[in-house]
Amino acid sequence: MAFFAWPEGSVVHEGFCNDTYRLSDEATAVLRALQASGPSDVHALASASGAAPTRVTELLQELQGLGLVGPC
Amino acid sequence: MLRLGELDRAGLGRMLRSGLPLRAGPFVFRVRSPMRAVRDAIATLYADATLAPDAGFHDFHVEVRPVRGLRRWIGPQVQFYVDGTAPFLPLPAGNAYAFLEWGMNWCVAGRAHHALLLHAAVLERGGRAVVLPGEPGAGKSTLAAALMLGGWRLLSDEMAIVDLAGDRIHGMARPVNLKNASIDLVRRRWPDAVFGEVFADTHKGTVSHLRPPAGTMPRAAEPAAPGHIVFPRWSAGAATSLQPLARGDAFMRAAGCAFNYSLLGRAGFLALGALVSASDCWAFEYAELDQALAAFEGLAA
Repeated sequence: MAFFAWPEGSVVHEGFCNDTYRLSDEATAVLRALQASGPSDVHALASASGAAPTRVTELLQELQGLGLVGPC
Repeated sequence: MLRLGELDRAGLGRMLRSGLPLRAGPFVFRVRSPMRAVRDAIATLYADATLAPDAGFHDFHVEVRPVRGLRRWIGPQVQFYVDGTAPFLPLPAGNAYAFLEWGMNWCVAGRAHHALLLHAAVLERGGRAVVLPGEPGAGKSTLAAALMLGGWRLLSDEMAIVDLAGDRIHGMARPVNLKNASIDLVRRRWPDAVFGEVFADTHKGTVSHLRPPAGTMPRAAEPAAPGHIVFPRWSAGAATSLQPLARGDAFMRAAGCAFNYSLLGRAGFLALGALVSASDCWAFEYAELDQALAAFEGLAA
């Protein structure tokens, strides 16, 4: 996976399917937090990204649906 | 280095029969044609182009020649060849030169996968490029012609050739292909501009080619650094509007204008991401060319 995160939004490339996604700002924040921390949990990601834990859970599910993250 | 304009028509005709080694940015086309109309169009529109060494390497061997048989007499047609094969159906003989130009674009779009290829005009001032991606009808060639005649250096009216590092943009600096109402619009505004023949009733409507100003073609191999990515949209009666565009949105729109983004996979993603990162991104709507030029002066400042 490769991604570019700009202040005005981010894009992600998923290599297996050669798909490109445009992510929302809040999904970008979670993804950046995850990339910085490595394997993590909802509360740590919520703290790092500034989103509520319930929202982080939803975003992780969306990112998992895109194949960008997975449970560990 | 020999300039094409130094050849007389007879000499150019001889070279076209054996193969004219025409430089176009990073590429060399070996162009062949026995047709006088093709020779005269090249003499007019490529007078400032430089020729490559005859014995050197040629990226594309292209040829436009009449279709043989009954078509010599009834509804004459021409065929375009690249490396000896004919990828298209023939066109009416009167469209021979336009066919050559379309064919040359096709060669690069379909084969030059060492770079990211965007369907975009590219101009440069002060070493920084303005990339104008757009679907047909967005007004990018008209805007490119206006900017070129307004003092910007033309790299391409059709295709941005982006290094995979995303840090250099190349063009081919060939004649600008104008269509339909744009032809008269540019003629009226710049009456000294040199146009080639007008081709009516092509699959793109009426088409004519505009010669780049002197000095453009000899610099065709000189790339530019990223500066701005501007998505133009011509709209009748619209007020001129240049609005910042989020890079995420600019990326997705530019990817949609690429010839080979998906083919390049991760390398294409990284190239486009680097280009977008290094550029300011804008959405531009315009109706009047002079107002458009004024808006772009602000970008060059």
